[in-house]
Amino acid sequence: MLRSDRHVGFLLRANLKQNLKYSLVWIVILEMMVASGAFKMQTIMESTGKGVQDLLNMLRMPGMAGLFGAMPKGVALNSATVFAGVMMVFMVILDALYVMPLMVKNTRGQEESGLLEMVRARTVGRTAAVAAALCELVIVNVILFVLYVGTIVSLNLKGADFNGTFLFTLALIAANLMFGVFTLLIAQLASTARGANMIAYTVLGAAYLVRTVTDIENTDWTWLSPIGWAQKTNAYSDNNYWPVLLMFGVTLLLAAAAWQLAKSRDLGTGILPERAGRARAAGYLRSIPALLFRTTWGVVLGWLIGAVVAGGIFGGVLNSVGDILKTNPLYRQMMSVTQVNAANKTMVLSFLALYILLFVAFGVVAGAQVVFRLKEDEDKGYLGVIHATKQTRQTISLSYYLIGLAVSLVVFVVGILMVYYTGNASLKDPLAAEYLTRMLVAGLPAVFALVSLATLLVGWVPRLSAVFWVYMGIGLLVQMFGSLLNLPKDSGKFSPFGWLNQAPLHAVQTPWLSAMIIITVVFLILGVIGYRQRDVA
Amino acid sequence: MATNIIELNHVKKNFGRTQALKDVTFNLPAGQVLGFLGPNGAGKSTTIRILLGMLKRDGGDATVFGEDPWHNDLAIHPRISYVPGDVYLWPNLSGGEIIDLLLRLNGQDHNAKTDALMQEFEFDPKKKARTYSKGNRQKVALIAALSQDAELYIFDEPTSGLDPLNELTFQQEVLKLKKAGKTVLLSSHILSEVEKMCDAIVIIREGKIIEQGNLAQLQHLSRLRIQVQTDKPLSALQKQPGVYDWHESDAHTQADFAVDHDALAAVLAALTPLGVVDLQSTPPTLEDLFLHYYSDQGVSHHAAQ
Ligand SMILES: Nc1ncnc2c1ncn2[C@@H]1O[C@H](COP(=O)(O)OP(=O)(O)OP(=O)(O)O)[C@@H](O)[C@H]1O
Ligand SMILES: [Mg+2]
Repeated sequence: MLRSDRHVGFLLRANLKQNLKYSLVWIVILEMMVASGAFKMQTIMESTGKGVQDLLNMLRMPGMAGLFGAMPKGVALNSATVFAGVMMVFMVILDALYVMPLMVKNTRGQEESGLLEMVRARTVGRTAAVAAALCELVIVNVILFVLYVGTIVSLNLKGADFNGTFLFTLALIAANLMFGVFTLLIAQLASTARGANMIAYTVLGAAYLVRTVTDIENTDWTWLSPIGWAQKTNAYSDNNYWPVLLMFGVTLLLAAAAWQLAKSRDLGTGILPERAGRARAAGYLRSIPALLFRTTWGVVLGWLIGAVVAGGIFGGVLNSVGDILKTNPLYRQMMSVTQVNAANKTMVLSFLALYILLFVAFGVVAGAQVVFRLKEDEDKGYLGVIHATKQTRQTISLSYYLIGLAVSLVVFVVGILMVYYTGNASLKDPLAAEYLTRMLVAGLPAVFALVSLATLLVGWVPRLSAVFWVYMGIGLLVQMFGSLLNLPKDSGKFSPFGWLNQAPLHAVQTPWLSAMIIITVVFLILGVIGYRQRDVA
Repeated sequence: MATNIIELNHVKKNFGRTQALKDVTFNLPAGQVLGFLGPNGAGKSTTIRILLGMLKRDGGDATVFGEDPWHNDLAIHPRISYVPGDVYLWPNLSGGEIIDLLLRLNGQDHNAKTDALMQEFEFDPKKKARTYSKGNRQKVALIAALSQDAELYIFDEPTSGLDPLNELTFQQEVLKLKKAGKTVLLSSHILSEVEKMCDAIVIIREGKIIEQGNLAQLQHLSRLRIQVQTDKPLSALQKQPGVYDWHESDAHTQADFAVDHDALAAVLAALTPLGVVDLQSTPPTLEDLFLHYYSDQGVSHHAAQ
């Protein structure tokens, strides 16, 4: 009898081989993150200096709770509990960023490139792609599990028992399986790989945002976010196994759904039926920028909605962030009202100085994606016919670059405006317009500098687009985590994230501002020149 | 002499270590339809991309309309209409939108010709490109290219996905272009198509032009196929220089073989004393020509000439 999942092994082997490099790089990065995180916590927590107190104070601030997750209440803070509290959310996100594109690539991506059609014709079963992707997901998670447990055990954190380590890692793996299988399901529903990736990232981002708000406002509500489930295991303290069971249960349900869809769906189609298009092009569709607008507006709109929502949420929590008395009621006796207000304002501004980095990253990702589409569209062969028209390479490349910059501008500015205005609506003591200006003046050039780096790469060495994401990711992480991890003060200065001078707490310094503007202009021009002198497809 | 629309002189192109083009030299005079033939991977598409200024050549000279295509692509592109070998389209746009867009990007617009072509090719412009079959994607590029008013039309394997009926429509359209005095460069693997439409052909193999000329000239260059029946045994003829591909009957009085044009006289002289009963010769078809030139044997034979 023919089974619908026959030849899974064959597909799995081919996929593993195909994804080897990608997986190796990610696994090394993830392993290094866990190792360096644990090691750093250990060095700070187990030293006798004032670093311990600084770290603990910092972790109690709402801004940090929003970023990394709230420390469980009434728990003895030692290397192990602090490690689990700081790393859980962060590692869930990073793990998911690894497996989500992998799952899409192995299913919808292969379908799109026609690879699956070729394979499937060789009597490979209907659900074989999903099954093979599932197997790969399990395999990489087993590898990660072993590596994580090994690392944590060998570092011998103070306060870490094996039960806690086992649970911490199990929660990570369970969450990763859940997000991986969720992506598999989305890949069956969406009609393109690009769309599937976007939806998966959006859901991940939403899950993060929800738990950011609830961790700041009221940790009981954190159960609302799937990422929160992993946090609620409280490894090394309560050691609660129920959330793990919950995640495994959801994973099974999602996997069954993905399986069922793959079995009943036509190859190469999504679940939504294809609507008929226009017989004639709209009047505006007569230039490269118009074409780009026509093909990207959906995604850009998605980013904008994301910026509005995220901005609204961060603005909305500003009031709780600024309530220093909530953090430490002892202050009530020590401080006068004006002192309390000043301290509140400083807390709000430091919170903004941290979160502006996220908005910069948000704008950069939105814009750089458009820029990198120049390479993607070329690889997909869409530009072959365009290059033969009277549109020059200059027009074509500049269109992608400038629209990328414009998208990043709009996404960043809208996000910051939302933070500022919803923040002021909630704050008892609204922020002066000066702080808004500071955020925009510092943040926008940083966004532009990074996006223009993308244009430089696309123009000259399009193969290196991965380098851009790694550079940006590390720049963001070092700047955000630097103070927590006790890194030297200037260690974030290797990327524009470090050049903002903690705006809006301080204004950006003129030399850095000029540097960012010059970089933008020079890289943009070089990007165009590069695209003019290299072969195109 | 007519002016040359395309001139290529010792053009070279390397991709890393692979030498895609080693020595490409040919001209395309105005008003001619030139067939560009060669085995897979010979360098046809690469040559075409150089002519369109998409690839930078590593040596030699190339001009299109007298301009360097790499530096002056802006000057030549409005005068060219191009159909790529593999057509990939933005999945979210409909075929109709893409056709209009391509025309507009060249400063033209949807016209009566566009509608007529859509009818002839039985093309549904409303479908999203994602849902088009290979042939339908090809039609999008063909309709856009054919309804554009240009001086030079470049087709890279334009009919590779088309059914015979649409292929015929395409051939009729090219003949119309020919009548209108347009210049056409047509890369193709379909020999009947080339035989019907082209004034001249150029054959490329492993990055080198190995033959060019009009069909009659080329047929002359290659071997004749001979079937002969004699009274006396004719096996000795097999050893004669210029005779290839020998098949003989069991009685050794019938044979079927190929002979070089220049060896024909000697072979006939050798046949006469044997008492010829029957003799037929067939001119080489383009197919023979192809097999002749595409195989390694063809090249060594050609080099020996
Ligand atoms: N971008 C590229 N990078 C590396 N090698 C390439 C590239 N483009 C073409 N080649 C190589 O150059 C050679 C010529 O390729 P080309 O596409 O011109 O062949 P072709 O004659 O059009 O073949 P076909 O009939 O299959 O279309 C091939 O060996 C091919 O592998
Ligand atoms: Mg080709």
